Amino acid sequence: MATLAHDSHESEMVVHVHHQYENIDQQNESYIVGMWCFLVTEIMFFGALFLMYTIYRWNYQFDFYGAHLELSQTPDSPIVGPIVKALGYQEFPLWGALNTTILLLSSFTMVLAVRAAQLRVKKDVLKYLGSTIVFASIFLVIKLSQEWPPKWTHKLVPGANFNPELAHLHGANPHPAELFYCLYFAMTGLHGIHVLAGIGILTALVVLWKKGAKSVTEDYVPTEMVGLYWHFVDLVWIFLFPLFYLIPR
Amino acid sequence: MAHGQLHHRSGPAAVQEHTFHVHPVKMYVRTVIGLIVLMCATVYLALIPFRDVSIFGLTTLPGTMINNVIAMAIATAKATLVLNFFMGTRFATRLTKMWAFAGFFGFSLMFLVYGDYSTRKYEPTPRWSSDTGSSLSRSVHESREGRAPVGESDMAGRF
Repeated sequence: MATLAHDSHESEMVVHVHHQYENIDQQNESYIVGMWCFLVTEIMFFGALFLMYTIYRWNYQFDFYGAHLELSQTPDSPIVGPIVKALGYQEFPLWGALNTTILLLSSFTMVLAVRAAQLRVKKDVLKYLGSTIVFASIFLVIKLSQEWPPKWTHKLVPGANFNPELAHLHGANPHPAELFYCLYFAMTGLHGIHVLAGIGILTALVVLWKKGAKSVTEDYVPTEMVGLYWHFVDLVWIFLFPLFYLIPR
Repeated sequence: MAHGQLHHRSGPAAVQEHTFHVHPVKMYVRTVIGLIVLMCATVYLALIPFRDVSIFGLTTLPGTMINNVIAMAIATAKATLVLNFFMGTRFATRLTKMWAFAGFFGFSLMFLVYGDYSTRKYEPTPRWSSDTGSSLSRSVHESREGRAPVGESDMAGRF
Protein backbone atom coordinates (compact mmCIF):
# COMPACT_ATOMS: atom_id res chain seq x y z
CA MET A 1 0.00 0.00 0.00
CA ALA A 2 2.62 2.39 1.12
CA THR A 3 4.68 1.80 -1.97
CA LEU A 4 1.68 2.44 -4.17
CA ALA A 5 0.90 5.67 -2.39
CA HIS A 6 4.48 6.57 -2.82
CA ASP A 7 4.39 5.88 -6.53
CA SER A 8 1.38 8.10 -6.97
CA HIS A 9 3.36 11.22 -6.23
CA GLU A 10 6.42 9.97 -7.94
CA SER A 11 7.18 13.12 -9.84
CA GLU A 12 10.46 14.21 -11.34
CA MET A 13 12.08 14.05 -7.89
CA VAL A 14 12.59 10.28 -7.97
CA VAL A 15 16.03 8.88 -7.31
CA HIS A 16 16.75 5.29 -8.14
CA VAL A 17 18.18 3.38 -5.20
CA HIS A 18 20.31 0.46 -6.29
CA HIS A 19 19.42 -2.93 -4.84
CA GLN A 20 22.46 -3.20 -2.58
CA TYR A 21 21.48 -0.12 -0.57
CA GLU A 22 18.95 0.11 2.23
CA ASN A 23 17.87 3.60 1.29
CA ILE A 24 18.88 6.78 -0.46
CA ASP A 25 20.88 8.04 2.55
CA GLN A 26 23.07 4.98 2.54
CA GLN A 27 23.53 5.17 -1.21
CA ASN A 28 24.54 8.84 -1.11
CA GLU A 29 26.91 8.28 1.80
CA SER A 30 28.56 5.39 -0.03
CA TYR A 31 29.14 7.53 -3.11
CA ILE A 32 30.62 10.37 -1.10
CA VAL A 33 32.77 8.13 1.09
CA GLY A 34 34.03 6.37 -2.05
CA MET A 35 35.06 9.73 -3.47
CA TRP A 36 36.80 10.69 -0.23
CA CYS A 37 38.58 7.35 -0.30
CA PHE A 38 40.03 8.37 -3.65
CA LEU A 39 40.87 11.85 -2.37
CA VAL A 40 42.80 10.30 0.54
CA THR A 41 45.03 8.49 -1.97
CA GLU A 42 45.48 11.83 -3.75
CA ILE A 43 46.52 13.46 -0.48
CA MET A 44 49.17 10.74 -0.08
CA PHE A 45 50.25 11.24 -3.70
CA PHE A 46 50.78 14.99 -3.31
CA GLY A 47 51.83 14.54 0.33
CA ALA A 48 55.09 12.81 -0.58
CA LEU A 49 56.00 15.74 -2.83
CA PHE A 50 55.10 18.26 -0.12
CA LEU A 51 57.29 16.34 2.31
CA MET A 52 60.22 16.37 -0.12
CA TYR A 53 59.69 20.08 -0.68
CA THR A 54 59.81 20.92 3.04
CA ILE A 55 63.03 18.97 3.57
CA TYR A 56 64.89 20.72 0.75
CA ARG A 57 63.38 24.09 1.55
CA TRP A 58 64.64 23.68 5.11
CA ASN A 59 68.16 22.89 3.95
CA TYR A 60 68.35 25.46 1.15
CA GLN A 61 66.12 28.30 2.33
CA PHE A 62 68.26 31.08 0.90
CA ASP A 63 68.69 29.38 -2.49
CA PHE A 64 64.97 28.67 -2.69
CA TYR A 65 64.31 32.32 -1.90
CA GLY A 66 66.56 33.42 -4.76
CA ALA A 67 65.15 30.92 -7.24
CA HIS A 68 61.53 31.76 -6.36
CA LEU A 69 62.08 35.45 -7.29
CA GLU A 70 62.11 34.32 -10.91
CA LEU A 71 58.41 33.33 -10.54
CA SER A 72 57.53 36.94 -9.71
CA GLN A 73 56.93 39.71 -12.20
CA THR A 74 58.79 43.01 -12.33
CA PRO A 75 57.71 46.43 -13.64
CA ASP A 76 59.41 45.44 -16.93
CA SER A 77 57.51 42.19 -17.37
CA PRO A 78 55.40 41.76 -20.50
CA ILE A 79 51.63 42.36 -20.23
CA VAL A 80 51.43 42.81 -16.44
CA GLY A 81 54.51 45.03 -15.93
CA PRO A 82 52.45 48.26 -15.58
CA ILE A 83 50.25 46.63 -12.92
CA VAL A 84 53.29 45.61 -10.87
CA LYS A 85 54.59 49.16 -11.23
CA ALA A 86 51.25 50.60 -10.13
CA LEU A 87 51.25 48.34 -7.08
CA GLY A 88 54.67 49.75 -6.20
CA TYR A 89 56.61 46.48 -6.00
CA GLN A 90 59.90 45.50 -7.58
CA GLU A 91 58.92 41.84 -7.57
CA PHE A 92 55.32 40.72 -7.35
CA PRO A 93 53.90 37.21 -7.99
CA LEU A 94 51.09 38.60 -10.15
CA TRP A 95 50.45 35.58 -12.38
CA GLY A 96 50.50 33.30 -9.34
CA ALA A 97 48.07 35.50 -7.42
CA LEU A 98 45.82 35.82 -10.46
CA ASN A 99 45.78 32.07 -10.98
CA THR A 100 44.95 31.52 -7.31
CA THR A 101 42.00 33.89 -7.60
CA ILE A 102 40.84 32.15 -10.78
CA LEU A 103 40.90 28.74 -9.11
CA LEU A 104 39.04 30.05 -6.07
CA LEU A 105 36.38 31.50 -8.38
CA SER A 106 36.16 28.20 -10.25
CA SER A 107 35.49 26.43 -6.96
CA PHE A 108 32.73 28.95 -6.31
CA THR A 109 31.04 28.32 -9.67
CA MET A 110 31.46 24.55 -9.11
CA VAL A 111 29.64 24.70 -5.79
CA LEU A 112 26.85 26.70 -7.44
CA ALA A 113 26.60 24.00 -10.12
CA VAL A 114 26.15 21.37 -7.39
CA ARG A 115 23.48 23.54 -5.78
CA ALA A 116 21.68 23.89 -9.10
CA ALA A 117 21.91 20.09 -9.54
CA GLN A 118 20.24 19.66 -6.13
CA LEU A 119 17.45 21.94 -7.27
CA ARG A 120 17.47 20.28 -10.72
CA VAL A 121 17.69 23.52 -12.64
CA LYS A 122 19.39 22.24 -15.77
CA LYS A 123 20.01 25.69 -17.25
CA ASP A 124 21.92 26.83 -14.16
CA VAL A 125 23.90 23.60 -13.90
CA LEU A 126 25.12 24.05 -17.47
CA LYS A 127 25.87 27.74 -16.90
CA TYR A 128 27.95 27.13 -13.77
CA LEU A 129 29.73 24.01 -15.06
CA GLY A 130 30.57 26.00 -18.19
CA SER A 131 32.00 28.86 -16.09
CA THR A 132 34.08 26.36 -14.12
CA ILE A 133 35.54 24.97 -17.35
CA VAL A 134 36.28 28.51 -18.57
CA PHE A 135 38.11 29.42 -15.32
CA ALA A 136 40.06 26.15 -15.41
CA SER A 137 41.08 26.83 -19.00
CA ILE A 138 42.22 30.38 -18.19
CA PHE A 139 44.33 28.92 -15.37
CA LEU A 140 46.04 26.51 -17.77
CA VAL A 141 46.47 29.13 -20.49
CA ILE A 142 48.27 31.45 -18.03
CA LYS A 143 50.48 28.56 -16.91
CA LEU A 144 51.34 27.43 -20.41
CA SER A 145 51.76 30.86 -22.00
CA GLN A 146 53.05 33.16 -19.25
CA GLU A 147 54.61 31.00 -16.57
CA TRP A 148 56.37 27.99 -18.06
CA PRO A 149 57.77 29.22 -21.43
CA PRO A 150 60.08 31.88 -19.87
CA LYS A 151 61.64 29.14 -17.71
CA TRP A 152 62.39 27.28 -20.90
CA THR A 153 63.98 30.24 -22.71
CA HIS A 154 66.02 31.17 -19.61
CA LYS A 155 67.32 27.57 -19.41
CA LEU A 156 65.76 27.05 -15.99
CA VAL A 157 64.23 23.66 -16.83
CA PRO A 158 66.09 21.04 -14.78
CA GLY A 159 68.11 18.49 -16.66
CA ALA A 160 70.88 18.57 -19.26
CA ASN A 161 69.83 22.03 -20.47
CA PHE A 162 69.82 23.66 -17.05
CA ASN A 163 72.24 26.51 -17.55
CA PRO A 164 70.71 29.82 -16.47
CA GLU A 165 72.42 33.16 -16.44
CA LEU A 166 73.28 34.52 -12.99
CA ALA A 167 70.60 37.20 -13.28
CA HIS A 168 67.88 34.54 -13.31
CA LEU A 169 69.22 32.85 -10.18
CA HIS A 170 68.96 35.97 -7.99
CA GLY A 171 71.92 34.93 -5.86
CA ALA A 172 70.97 31.28 -5.47
CA ASN A 173 73.48 28.48 -5.80
CA PRO A 174 72.62 26.85 -9.16
CA HIS A 175 72.47 23.32 -7.71
CA PRO A 176 69.75 23.92 -5.10
CA ALA A 177 68.10 26.26 -7.63
CA GLU A 178 67.85 23.31 -10.03
CA LEU A 179 66.34 21.30 -7.19
CA PHE A 180 63.81 24.11 -6.68
CA TYR A 181 62.81 23.94 -10.34
CA CYS A 182 62.57 20.13 -10.17
CA LEU A 183 60.05 20.50 -7.36
CA TYR A 184 58.34 23.44 -9.07
CA PHE A 185 57.75 21.56 -12.31
CA ALA A 186 56.89 18.26 -10.61
CA MET A 187 54.36 19.78 -8.21
CA THR A 188 52.75 22.47 -10.36
CA GLY A 189 52.95 20.06 -13.32
CA LEU A 190 51.15 17.31 -11.44
CA HIS A 191 48.61 19.88 -10.32
CA GLY A 192 48.27 21.06 -13.93
CA ILE A 193 47.56 17.48 -15.04
CA HIS A 194 44.83 17.35 -12.40
CA VAL A 195 43.34 20.58 -13.74
CA LEU A 196 43.42 19.13 -17.26
CA ALA A 197 41.76 15.92 -16.05
CA GLY A 198 39.21 18.10 -14.24
CA ILE A 199 38.36 19.91 -17.48
CA GLY A 200 37.82 16.50 -19.11
CA ILE A 201 35.55 15.25 -16.33
CA LEU A 202 33.61 18.53 -16.24
CA THR A 203 33.12 18.39 -20.00
CA ALA A 204 31.82 14.82 -19.74
CA LEU A 205 29.43 15.97 -17.02
CA VAL A 206 28.22 18.85 -19.19
CA VAL A 207 27.56 16.42 -22.05
CA LEU A 208 25.55 14.13 -19.75
CA TRP A 209 23.52 17.06 -18.43
CA LYS A 210 22.91 18.35 -21.96
CA LYS A 211 21.70 14.92 -23.05
CA GLY A 212 19.53 14.81 -19.97
CA ALA A 213 21.05 11.50 -18.86
CA LYS A 214 19.09 10.24 -15.86
CA SER A 215 22.27 9.18 -14.06
CA VAL A 216 23.12 12.84 -13.45
CA THR A 217 19.82 14.70 -13.76
CA GLU A 218 17.76 12.66 -11.30
CA ASP A 219 20.49 12.41 -8.68
CA TYR A 220 22.71 15.35 -7.70
CA VAL A 221 25.44 13.15 -6.19
CA PRO A 222 27.47 12.53 -9.40
CA THR A 223 27.76 16.32 -9.84
CA GLU A 224 28.68 16.60 -6.16
CA MET A 225 31.45 14.00 -6.61
CA VAL A 226 32.98 15.93 -9.51
CA GLY A 227 32.71 18.98 -7.25
CA LEU A 228 34.66 17.22 -4.50
CA TYR A 229 37.44 16.42 -6.96
CA TRP A 230 37.51 19.99 -8.24
CA HIS A 231 37.66 21.49 -4.73
CA PHE A 232 40.50 19.12 -3.92
CA VAL A 233 42.46 20.45 -6.91
CA ASP A 234 41.81 23.95 -5.55
CA LEU A 235 42.93 22.81 -2.09
CA VAL A 236 46.30 21.62 -3.44
CA TRP A 237 46.87 24.94 -5.19
CA ILE A 238 46.03 26.85 -1.98
CA PHE A 239 49.18 25.28 -0.50
CA LEU A 240 51.32 25.33 -3.65
CA PHE A 241 50.85 29.07 -4.04
CA PRO A 242 52.55 30.25 -0.80
CA LEU A 243 55.15 27.46 -0.99
CA PHE A 244 56.42 28.42 -4.43
CA TYR A 245 55.48 32.06 -4.97
CA LEU A 246 55.73 33.55 -1.48
CA ILE A 247 59.03 32.34 -0.04
CA PRO A 248 60.35 34.90 2.44
CA ARG A 249 63.96 35.93 2.43
CA MET B 1 16.84 27.34 3.49
CA ALA B 2 15.22 25.38 0.73
CA HIS B 3 14.58 21.66 1.06
CA GLY B 4 14.73 19.08 -1.65
CA GLN B 5 12.47 16.10 -1.32
CA LEU B 6 13.86 12.80 -2.48
CA HIS B 7 11.87 9.62 -2.84
CA HIS B 8 13.05 6.31 -4.06
CA ARG B 9 11.59 3.40 -5.95
CA SER B 10 13.00 0.25 -4.39
CA GLY B 11 13.86 -0.61 -0.80
CA PRO B 12 11.63 -1.56 2.10
CA ALA B 13 7.92 -1.12 1.62
CA ALA B 14 7.59 1.65 4.18
CA VAL B 15 7.54 5.11 2.69
CA GLN B 16 10.96 6.58 3.03
CA GLU B 17 11.64 10.17 2.41
CA HIS B 18 14.83 11.96 2.68
CA THR B 19 15.36 15.66 3.01
CA PHE B 20 18.67 17.20 2.12
CA HIS B 21 19.54 20.81 2.63
CA VAL B 22 20.13 23.15 -0.23
CA HIS B 23 22.29 25.84 1.28
CA PRO B 24 21.66 29.50 0.48
CA VAL B 25 23.81 31.10 -2.20
CA LYS B 26 24.73 33.74 0.40
CA MET B 27 26.79 31.18 2.29
CA TYR B 28 28.84 30.37 -0.81
CA VAL B 29 29.25 34.05 -1.69
CA ARG B 30 30.57 34.78 1.82
CA THR B 31 32.98 31.86 1.54
CA VAL B 32 34.43 32.98 -1.78
CA ILE B 33 34.76 36.59 -0.58
CA GLY B 34 36.58 35.31 2.52
CA LEU B 35 38.89 33.23 0.32
CA ILE B 36 39.79 36.15 -1.95
CA VAL B 37 40.37 38.49 1.00
CA LEU B 38 42.70 35.87 2.52
CA MET B 39 44.47 35.51 -0.84
CA CYS B 40 45.18 39.26 -0.94
CA ALA B 41 46.28 39.20 2.71
CA THR B 42 48.74 36.37 2.17
CA VAL B 43 50.42 38.12 -0.78
CA TYR B 44 50.57 41.44 1.09
CA LEU B 45 51.99 39.93 4.29
CA ALA B 46 54.48 37.70 2.45
CA LEU B 47 56.12 40.75 0.89
CA ILE B 48 56.72 42.45 4.25
CA PRO B 49 60.21 41.63 5.56
CA PHE B 50 59.50 41.07 9.25
CA ARG B 51 62.33 41.78 11.68
CA ASP B 52 63.75 39.11 13.93
CA VAL B 53 61.93 39.14 17.25
CA SER B 54 63.68 38.46 20.53
CA ILE B 55 61.58 36.36 22.91
CA PHE B 56 62.40 37.61 26.42
CA GLY B 57 66.07 37.68 25.46
CA LEU B 58 66.07 33.88 25.58
CA THR B 59 65.83 33.08 21.92
CA THR B 60 65.33 34.88 18.66
CA LEU B 61 62.38 34.21 16.40
CA PRO B 62 63.66 34.86 12.87
CA GLY B 63 61.57 37.19 10.72
CA THR B 64 61.57 34.54 7.97
CA MET B 65 59.80 32.21 10.35
CA ILE B 66 57.11 34.84 11.06
CA ASN B 67 56.48 35.12 7.30
CA ASN B 68 56.28 31.34 7.01
CA VAL B 69 53.92 30.93 9.94
CA ILE B 70 51.60 33.63 8.56
CA ALA B 71 51.64 32.15 5.03
CA MET B 72 50.87 28.63 6.24
CA ALA B 73 48.26 29.81 8.74
CA ILE B 74 46.41 31.68 5.98
CA ALA B 75 46.70 28.67 3.63
CA THR B 76 45.24 26.47 6.37
CA ALA B 77 42.41 28.95 6.96
CA LYS B 78 41.62 28.97 3.23
CA ALA B 79 41.72 25.16 3.12
CA THR B 80 39.35 25.02 6.10
CA LEU B 81 36.87 27.29 4.32
CA VAL B 82 37.00 25.17 1.15
CA LEU B 83 36.67 21.92 3.10
CA ASN B 84 33.82 23.07 5.32
CA PHE B 85 31.65 25.02 2.92
CA PHE B 86 32.57 24.11 -0.66
CA MET B 87 33.23 20.42 -0.04
CA GLY B 88 30.42 20.44 2.53
CA THR B 89 32.36 18.43 5.10
CA ARG B 90 30.77 20.55 7.83
CA PHE B 91 27.32 19.22 6.90
CA ALA B 92 28.45 15.70 5.95
CA THR B 93 27.77 12.46 7.79
CA ARG B 94 30.15 11.33 10.51
CA LEU B 95 31.57 8.58 8.31
CA THR B 96 32.46 11.11 5.61
CA LYS B 97 34.03 13.39 8.21
CA MET B 98 36.10 10.48 9.46
CA TRP B 99 37.44 9.83 5.95
CA ALA B 100 38.28 13.48 5.41
CA PHE B 101 40.06 13.55 8.76
CA ALA B 102 41.90 10.31 7.95
CA GLY B 103 43.37 11.87 4.81
CA PHE B 104 44.87 14.84 6.57
CA PHE B 105 45.89 12.86 9.62
CA GLY B 106 47.74 10.38 7.38
CA PHE B 107 49.42 13.33 5.66
CA SER B 108 50.66 14.69 9.00
CA LEU B 109 52.09 11.25 9.88
CA MET B 110 54.36 11.52 6.83
CA PHE B 111 56.26 14.23 8.62
CA LEU B 112 57.54 11.69 11.15
CA VAL B 113 60.21 11.18 8.49
CA TYR B 114 61.78 14.33 9.93
CA GLY B 115 62.75 12.25 12.97
CA ASP B 116 64.95 10.21 10.69
CA TYR B 117 66.45 13.14 8.81
CA SER B 118 67.22 15.18 11.90
CA THR B 119 69.13 12.39 13.63
CA ARG B 120 71.17 11.35 10.62
CA LYS B 121 74.63 12.56 9.79
CA TYR B 122 74.55 15.09 6.99
CA GLU B 123 76.33 14.02 3.88
CA PRO B 124 77.34 17.21 2.13
CA THR B 125 77.06 17.14 -1.62
CA PRO B 126 80.32 18.40 -3.11
CA ARG B 127 80.08 22.08 -4.07
CA TRP B 128 76.47 22.37 -2.86
CA SER B 129 76.93 23.22 0.77
CA SER B 130 79.31 22.79 3.64
CA ASP B 131 78.91 20.10 6.33
CA THR B 132 76.16 21.31 8.60
CA GLY B 133 76.22 18.35 10.96
CA SER B 134 72.68 17.04 10.68
CA SER B 135 70.57 16.35 7.63
CA LEU B 136 67.99 18.86 8.80
CA SER B 137 69.83 21.94 9.82
CA ARG B 138 70.27 25.35 8.47
CA SER B 139 71.26 28.69 9.75
CA VAL B 140 68.42 31.07 9.19
CA HIS B 141 70.66 33.91 10.25
CA GLU B 142 73.15 33.13 7.59
CA SER B 143 70.40 33.57 5.02
CA ARG B 144 68.70 36.56 6.57
CA GLU B 145 71.73 38.67 7.29
CA GLY B 146 73.13 38.71 3.88
CA ARG B 147 74.99 36.05 2.12
CA ALA B 148 76.12 38.38 -0.59
CA PRO B 149 74.72 37.59 -4.01
CA VAL B 150 76.83 35.07 -5.85
CA GLY B 151 79.30 36.69 -8.19
CA GLU B 152 81.07 35.19 -11.15
CA SER B 153 84.22 34.49 -9.08
CA ASP B 154 82.23 32.75 -6.31
CA MET B 155 80.53 30.62 -8.89
CA ALA B 156 83.82 29.16 -10.05
CA GLY B 157 84.40 27.79 -6.59
CA ARG B 158 80.89 26.49 -6.24
CA PHE B 159 80.76 24.34 -9.33
